[in-house]
Amino acid sequence: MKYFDTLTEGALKALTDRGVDPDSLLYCLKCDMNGEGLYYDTYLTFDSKNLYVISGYDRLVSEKKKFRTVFDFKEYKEYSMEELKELYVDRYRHTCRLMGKMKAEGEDAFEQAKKSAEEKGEEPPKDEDRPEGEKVWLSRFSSGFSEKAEQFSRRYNMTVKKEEIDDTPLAENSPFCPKCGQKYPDPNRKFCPYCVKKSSIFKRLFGLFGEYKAQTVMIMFMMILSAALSVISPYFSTAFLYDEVLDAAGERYGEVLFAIIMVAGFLVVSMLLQTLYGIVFTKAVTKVMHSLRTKVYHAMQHLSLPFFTSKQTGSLMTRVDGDAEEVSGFFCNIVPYGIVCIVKLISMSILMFIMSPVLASCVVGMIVVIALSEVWFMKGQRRLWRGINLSMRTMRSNLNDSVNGHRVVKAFAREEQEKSRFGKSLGKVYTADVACRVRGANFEFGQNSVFIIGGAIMTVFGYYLVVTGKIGLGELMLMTGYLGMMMEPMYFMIWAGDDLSRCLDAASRIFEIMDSKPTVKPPENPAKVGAEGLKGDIVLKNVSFEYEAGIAVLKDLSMDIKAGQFYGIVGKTGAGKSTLINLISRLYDTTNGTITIDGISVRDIAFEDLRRSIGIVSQETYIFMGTVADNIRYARPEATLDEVIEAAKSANAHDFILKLPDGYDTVIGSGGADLSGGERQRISIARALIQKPNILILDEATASMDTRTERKIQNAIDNLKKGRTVIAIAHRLSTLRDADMLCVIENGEVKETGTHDELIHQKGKYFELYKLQAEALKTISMD
Amino acid sequence: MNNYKVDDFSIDTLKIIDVNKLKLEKKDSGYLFAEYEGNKYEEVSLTRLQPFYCLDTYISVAFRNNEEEWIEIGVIKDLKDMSDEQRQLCEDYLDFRYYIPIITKIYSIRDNRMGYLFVDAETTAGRKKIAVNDWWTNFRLNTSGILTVTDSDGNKYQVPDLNKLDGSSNKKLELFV
Repeated sequence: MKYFDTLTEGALKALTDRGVDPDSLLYCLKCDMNGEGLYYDTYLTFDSKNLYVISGYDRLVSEKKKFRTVFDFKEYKEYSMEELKELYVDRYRHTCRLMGKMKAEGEDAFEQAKKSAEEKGEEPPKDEDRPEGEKVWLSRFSSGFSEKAEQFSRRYNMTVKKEEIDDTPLAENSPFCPKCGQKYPDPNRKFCPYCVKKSSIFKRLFGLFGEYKAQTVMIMFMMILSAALSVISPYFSTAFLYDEVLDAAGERYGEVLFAIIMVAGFLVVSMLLQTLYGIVFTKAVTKVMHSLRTKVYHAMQHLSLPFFTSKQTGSLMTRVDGDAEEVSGFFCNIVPYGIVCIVKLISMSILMFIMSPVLASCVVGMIVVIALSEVWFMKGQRRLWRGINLSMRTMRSNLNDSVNGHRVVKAFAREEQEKSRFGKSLGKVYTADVACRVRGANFEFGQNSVFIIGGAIMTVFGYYLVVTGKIGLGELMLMTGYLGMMMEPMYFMIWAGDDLSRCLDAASRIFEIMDSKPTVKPPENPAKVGAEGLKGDIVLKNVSFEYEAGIAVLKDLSMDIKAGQFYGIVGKTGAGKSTLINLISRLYDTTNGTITIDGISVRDIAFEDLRRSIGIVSQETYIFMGTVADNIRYARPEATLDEVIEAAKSANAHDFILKLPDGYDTVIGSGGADLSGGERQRISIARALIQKPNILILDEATASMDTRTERKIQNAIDNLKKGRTVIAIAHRLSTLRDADMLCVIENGEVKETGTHDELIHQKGKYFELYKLQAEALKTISMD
Repeated sequence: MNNYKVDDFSIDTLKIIDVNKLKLEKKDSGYLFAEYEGNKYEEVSLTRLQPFYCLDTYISVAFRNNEEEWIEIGVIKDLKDMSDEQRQLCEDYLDFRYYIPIITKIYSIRDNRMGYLFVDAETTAGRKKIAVNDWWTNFRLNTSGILTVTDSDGNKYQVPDLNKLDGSSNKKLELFV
């Protein structure tokens, strides 16, 4: 029993005690609730004859420092497959029920009657008259279990019907982590946060270090040099000057010029070093960031469409941009600066302890007090920052809403309402910000007071040591200077934890993309397709598809499209028409069934061959930032201007392009000239035409156009039909008037297939739609 | 299954149900059976039109037709207009349909900064460790102060009134709402 849950030891024993053979069990499902909505553990499992339902509580008990699960048995039920014919999931708002359909009285007689009618060639009894069996409630579970439950039910139903079960897709696209068995938060991305440890990310991050070793070592070298200078230079302006040069007992007494040269020399070298460091740092950061962004972006391009549709664009952009920047900080800031800070703190402490252990202890003691108070402060401050962050995000969302929706705001004269809404969110930002700043100011005052008072006490104590001759005046001044200098690395160390966490967080997100595997995999041994591409004999056989488990968008759909045919697909919104196109062009893989083009399964055709043979004009037209010509030749950058113009002419786009300020060189897309919906669609058609595909798919391609333009494009498409397979989806039946074959899809199923005349004659769904549109036109003409 | 047909092309209007003519019955399987204006409906569902704001008012009554589509029969304006027995039946059904574990106490919230939060909470269904991915999206506080938490499996939990939570739980939550 490999899927979907595992029976705990106790549950298995309870089953075997009731005569169930554990080796015969096929699948197992665990549900988490009872009828009253309390957490309760119910296991459902079946063999080839019966379904077993066992309920109780799984408890973790500790024995000899080891944990094991104990099952407190409560209830057991057994259903024979002869009686329980079908399982299904009954969904509620936040919970679901697993239901069973029992065999109905008279069901056998009905089946027999149907069979004999079919044998005799008579009209069989209608499925609507099939006797319905009693429905039984088997278990209840939180909605998060529904996907598993759907899969489990399907397998039970197939076992009842003695159908062969293929678990390969489960093994290939298992939504569960093979390591821990937990469900992936996003089934489209095989990333398990439960199995990722911070330490492993840290290790991997260091693995990347090799690539940026030169940059990091360079920065570190400059930093250490700068740190050494900053630790040594105060010595010349304090201890050396006062104790060696100005003191008569000093070894360099009177050599003031030498002292000035040393101080000035260190200052100049330090400044030069800082400038050099700035250059090295900027170059290194830019290089590391560029490399990381490229890596993430490249990794993203290999992922399948579901990855992009399941993630918000903003979130993906953050990954390429923000997260890469955060990770680059690890190599350019956290690692080198962290090492420098540690070196600085240790070297200054050693120097101080050499000069005066007593005074050094005072300095370190004070630093520790300030550090502890800072840690306490930061803990509270983080909450306030989070508060600001939250209120800022709400405020930005409101702002975004009202700015993007300004037309609606103005049209309904709701400016005052929007002002008040924005004012409220701004008020929250103000309150959160004030609370944070006031606390910060109060703490700074307290901390400064401690620093000044502590510093004063230390200085007085230092003067006492100077007077008693235990240390020199210069040494005291050097140590006071070090007190100030130690604050900076100390603050860094306090902040480093936060920075490191943010960096690890960003790194985990980046690795998540790099580790994600495409759900639509390219074939390992692609079939050979000639230079002329695929001809376009498309056969769909029993195709089913679900975006979300259990919610079938296409159900057992079969279709036969001949090469060179103009094939029209008609259906209501949400009937599954666009999904069909996604499957033919293999943007998604079917859940069940096969799609072949020219007799080759789409799964065996290399992406390059497939995409080169199929041109799609979809409902959503996207215009890239660039010139009109670039946008048209997007799929074939080598296309000549002649070809670009030819495609634009065919798509009836040439005339409006001429009116644009710079013709074919006009920059369109984000930040460029504005195009209307119809104009964008025409560019999109030209983009598909220039590719010269053998299979042209038009998904509501002329929906945003006026009737005149649509007619023109229709003529253009008519011209293109020669030697091409054209699949067109349209709501307006006039668009499909010349289709060789039409197909009506409803609720993911093929309802009717035939030519226009045949379907009108049939007086079915197509006829209904046709009549409706004809009536609508009549109404207009009457007006 | 129902053989009741609706006119696909008629303009939809709000149909308020005359509760005196409606008879609901609950089957052992948990499904509702209804009789209204001479029509019989085998499988009926009740839906709150505003599940957060109107718990007992504006309840949509729909049936499942032969094509597995839910078709609305009408809307019950207020459950209190019904007989005690019928109202109880509706309330029980709606309680079941909209059941959601209510968070009564929060023991800890661990932000492990891997994009996941782990909330150890006591709920009306029992104690639960809730893993939340992307808390900004999955901690939703609506305008009436109802907090809905969605975990990484898609399960939902609710805090109907943040002010009724104890101080310590509220303090832990305030970082996220």
